[in-house]
Amino acid sequence: MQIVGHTTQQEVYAASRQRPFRINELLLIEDKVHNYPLGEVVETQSFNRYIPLVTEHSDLVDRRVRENLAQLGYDIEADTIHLARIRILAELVSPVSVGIAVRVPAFKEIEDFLIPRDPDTGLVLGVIRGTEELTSGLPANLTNVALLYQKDKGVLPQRGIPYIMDHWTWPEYPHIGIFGGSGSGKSFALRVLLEEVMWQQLPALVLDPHFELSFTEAFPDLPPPYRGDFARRSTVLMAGRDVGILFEELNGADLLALLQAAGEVTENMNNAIQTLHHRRDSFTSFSNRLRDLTQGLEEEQDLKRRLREDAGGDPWEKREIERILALVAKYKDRVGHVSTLRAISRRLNRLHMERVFTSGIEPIQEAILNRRLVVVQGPIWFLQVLGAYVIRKFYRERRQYQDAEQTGEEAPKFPPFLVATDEAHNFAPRSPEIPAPARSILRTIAQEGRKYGVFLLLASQRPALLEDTITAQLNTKLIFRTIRSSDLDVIREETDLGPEEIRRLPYLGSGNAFVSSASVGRTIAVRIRVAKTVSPHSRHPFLELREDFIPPEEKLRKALLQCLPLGDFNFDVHLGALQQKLRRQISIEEITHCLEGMVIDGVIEKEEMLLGVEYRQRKD
Amino acid sequence: MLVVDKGLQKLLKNVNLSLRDRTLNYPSREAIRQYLGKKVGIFHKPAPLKANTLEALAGGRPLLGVDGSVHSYGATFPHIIHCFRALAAATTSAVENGIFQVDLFYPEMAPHRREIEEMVSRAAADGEVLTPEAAAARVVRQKLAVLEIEVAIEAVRRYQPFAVLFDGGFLRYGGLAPSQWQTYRELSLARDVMSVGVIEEVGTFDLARYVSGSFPGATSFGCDRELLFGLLDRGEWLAIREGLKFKKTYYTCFARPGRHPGVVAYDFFQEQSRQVAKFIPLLFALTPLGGRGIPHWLDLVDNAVRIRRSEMELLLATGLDKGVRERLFVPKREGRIL
Repeated sequence: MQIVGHTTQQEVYAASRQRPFRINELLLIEDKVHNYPLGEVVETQSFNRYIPLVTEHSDLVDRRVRENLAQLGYDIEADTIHLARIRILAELVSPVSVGIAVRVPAFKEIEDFLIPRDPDTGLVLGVIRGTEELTSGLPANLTNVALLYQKDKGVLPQRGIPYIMDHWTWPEYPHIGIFGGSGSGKSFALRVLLEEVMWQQLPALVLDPHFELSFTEAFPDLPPPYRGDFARRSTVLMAGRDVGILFEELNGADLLALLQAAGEVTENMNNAIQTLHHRRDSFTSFSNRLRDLTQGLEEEQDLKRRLREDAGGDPWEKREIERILALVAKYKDRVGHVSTLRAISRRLNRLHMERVFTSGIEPIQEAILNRRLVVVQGPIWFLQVLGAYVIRKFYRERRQYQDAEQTGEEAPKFPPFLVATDEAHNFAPRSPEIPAPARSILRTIAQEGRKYGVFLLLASQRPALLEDTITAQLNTKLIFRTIRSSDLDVIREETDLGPEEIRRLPYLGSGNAFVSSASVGRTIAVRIRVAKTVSPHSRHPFLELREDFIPPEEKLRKALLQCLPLGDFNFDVHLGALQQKLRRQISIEEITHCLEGMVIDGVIEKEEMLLGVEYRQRKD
Repeated sequence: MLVVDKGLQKLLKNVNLSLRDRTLNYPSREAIRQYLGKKVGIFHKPAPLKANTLEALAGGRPLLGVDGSVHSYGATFPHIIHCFRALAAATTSAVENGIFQVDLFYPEMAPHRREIEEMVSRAAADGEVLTPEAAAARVVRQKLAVLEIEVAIEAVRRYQPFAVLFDGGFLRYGGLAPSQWQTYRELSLARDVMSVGVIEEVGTFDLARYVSGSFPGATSFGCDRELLFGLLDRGEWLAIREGLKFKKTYYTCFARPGRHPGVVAYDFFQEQSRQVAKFIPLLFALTPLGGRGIPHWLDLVDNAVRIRRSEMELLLATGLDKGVRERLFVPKREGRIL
C-alpha cells in the first residue's frame, strides 16, 4: 500500500494491488517528516483497468475470453487495484509525499489515540469500526469487553478495539444526543449507554414514554462473565401509581403547564387559573373553589333570590349561599365567562382521574440520592409535566447545594445527575407554538448544567424537531441511520460528519453509528455492543399471538385427540374431564362439530358403527 | 449547437449517391462466396473451442503479445522528437511485467542525422530520390519495426511461448527490418513457436482484383475490405488456396471472429500454413465477440505500450529545459485557446 496521486495536508489517496481497503480503518502513513501520522479510510474503491465500464464504444470483454486467457496463465483479477481516500487525523503543515508506504498499525501505535481510558472507568459502548484486524493484538483488559450481536448469528465475540466514551470529560464537553430513525439501533444504544451509566453508578433520571427501559431481564445467551446485575442499580416507577405531583407544591405556572398537558389552555383560562390558584392550595381546596364559583356564576340571580327569602330559614344553606356569593363578588370580574371555568374543571378532572396528584416524587429523589438510575414510565403528556417538575426541582436543589458549598453555607446534599429520555423532541420541541413544560428547564441545563454536574442524554428520531439551542449544546452525538433530509441537514450543521459519512447515513446498518464528539475532535464509526438487558416487551407480537392467544377450538382439538376413540357411546364419560381441563362449559354439539372439522382436515377418521359414529386415530 | 455546413452536406450527399449506386450493383453475397469457394479458397467454420482445452493446446507454454508505439512531438522538421517503445508480454504475468524496450530519434542529433543521410544514399542507389524528411519518416518506421522484433526475439528466448501475436502484418517487418526479421523467423521456427500477424485494417487489393471482371455488369470491388465486408459468417474464416499466394513468403487468411461484419486478416509464416486450421479456433477463443476482432491479449499489450500524449508531455516537461522546448518544439497551435 502506498500514497498515490495528489495529496494535501488533510487528505491522501492510497492504492494497493493485494489488499482491499476497509472503510473507517486506521492506517499509519510512514512519513518520517510528519512523524508517522495516522489516517482514516473514508472512501474505498476497487477497479480493474481491463474490465472497464461498458460504454457505447467498448463492449464488455466476454467471460469466455477471460477464462481462456486464464488458462494461458493470465490472471486478470491481479490487475485489480484498490484505492482508498484517507483523511489524515493530524494537522500537518505540508502535504504527505507521494509514494510513501502505508500500513496497518500495530495496536500499541494507536492505543493512546483510541483508548481514552480504562474500560472499568469509562463507558464501553461498542467497538470502533475498521479496527477489526487489530483484535488479536489487544491486551486482556480490552478483550471481550464489548461483545457484539448480529440478528442471524446471535451474540458474537468482540472484534475490534472497544469504543470507550470518556464521561470524565463531560464537565468540559457535556450532553449527549442519540439520533436515528426507527430500527436504526438508537433505542438499543440508549439502553447500552444507560447500562454503562448504571455501572459507573451515575445518578440518572430517565423519562420513558415507551415503557421499555427496565433492566431486570438479562439479554438471552450472554456468556456469564459478561452479565451484570442491573436490577439492583435501577428503579422503575410508574407515573400516577408510584409517583405523582403533590398539588400543594405547585405554583401557578406549574399548574398551567399541567393543565396544558391535559388539553388546550386559552388566554382567558390562563387568567382564571392564575387568579384562582393560591399558594399551598390543595387539590380539594382549588377544585372546590372552582366548582363553587362556577355554580355561583351560573345561579347568581337564583342564589340572591334565595338569600332574600332567607333560604327558607335554613341557617346552613344561608351560610353556603353567602359564601358562594362572596366568591362571585371577589372573582366575577377577573375570571371571565363560566364556560372558561368549566373548561378548566374538565382538564383538572382529567388529571385527577389519571392520578396525577395522588403521590409525590420522593421515590425518585431517594433513588437519585442513592446513585441509582430511576426510570419513570408513563404516557408522554404526563411525563412532560412530571419531568419538567422533577427536573426543575432537582436542578434547583443541586444548584443550591453547590452554591452553598461555594459560599460555605448549609444546604441539603444533592448529587450531580443525568437526565435521559427518548423522544426528546417531544420534551423540548423546536417550534415555540408547541406547549412543552420541560423545554425551558432542559434548555437551561443544556446551557449551564455542566457547571453543576447536571448532564443531558437525549435520544430522538427527529433531530430537526429538537429545540436548537439544546441540539447545539450536545457535545457528543451518536448518529444512527437517518433518512429524512431535514434531519440530515441538522446533522450536517451540528456535527463534524464529512460529506462521505453523511452520504452513508441513509444506509447504515442497524447498530452502526457515527460518534461526533467535541472531546475527541473527529468522527468515529462505531458498532454498538450487545446490550446486557432486554426490554420486557421485546417479544414479537406474532409470537405472542402464537403463544398466548391460542383459539379455543385449537385447545379443544388438542384435548379431544387425547380421548380417542370417541363416539356417542362415550361422550358423557369424557365430558366432565374435558370441561375441567378447559375450564369452561362444553356441549356435545360443540364436540361433534370439532370432531367433524378434524375429519375434514384429515386429522382423524370417522366410521359409522352399529351403535352410532366412532371417531378414531388415523391408521397411517 | 453544432450547425451543419449546408454546402459540405450537399457535396457529401453526392458522394453517398454514387456509393449507393455502387453498392446496389454488387454481385450477390452468395455469388461471390460461390466464386471464391471455387477459385480462391475454402470457407471454414470451425466449431468453437471446447472449454478448458486451451491449456492443453498451448502445451503449458504462454502466449506472447508484441506491439510497439511511437509518439512524435514538435512543429516542423527536423525539430521533431520521436519516442519509441516496444513491448512483448507473456500471459504468465501482468502486462507491465513484459519486456519493454525504448528508443529515441531526433534528426538533429549527429548519429541520427547520419542515419537519415544513409537512408537517402541507399535510396539513391536504388534510383529513388528521397528528401531528408521522407527519409526520416522511413527511419522512424524502421526503428519501430526493429524495436518490436527485438523484444519479440528476447521474449521468445525468455518465455518459450507456444505462439506470438504481432499487432500488424508481417510485410512491414520483412520490408523494414529484413535481417532482424529473418533472425526472428529462424528462431521461432526452430522453437516451434506459432507466429501470427493480426491485421485489423485489411488494406490489400489482391482478392478484389482477382474477383473483379468475373461478374460482368456488376460493380468491381476496389479493395479486399470492400469485398469481404459482410461476406463471412461469424466464426468463419477464408483459407487461400496454396497456389494463389498473394504475399510471397507469408500465408494470409481472412476471418470474422466477432459480431462486426468487417474482417481481419492473419499473417502466418509459410512454413506453418499446415497448422493454421488448428490454430485459428484458438485465436477466435481469445477474441471478444463484441470487439474489433483483435485478440484481447493484444489489446492489453497495445494499451500498456502506447505512449500517450499526456505521458509524452510529462516526459518533455521533465526532460527538456523550458527554453529549449519552447524555442524548438512546442507547436504554436498548442497555444490555441478556441
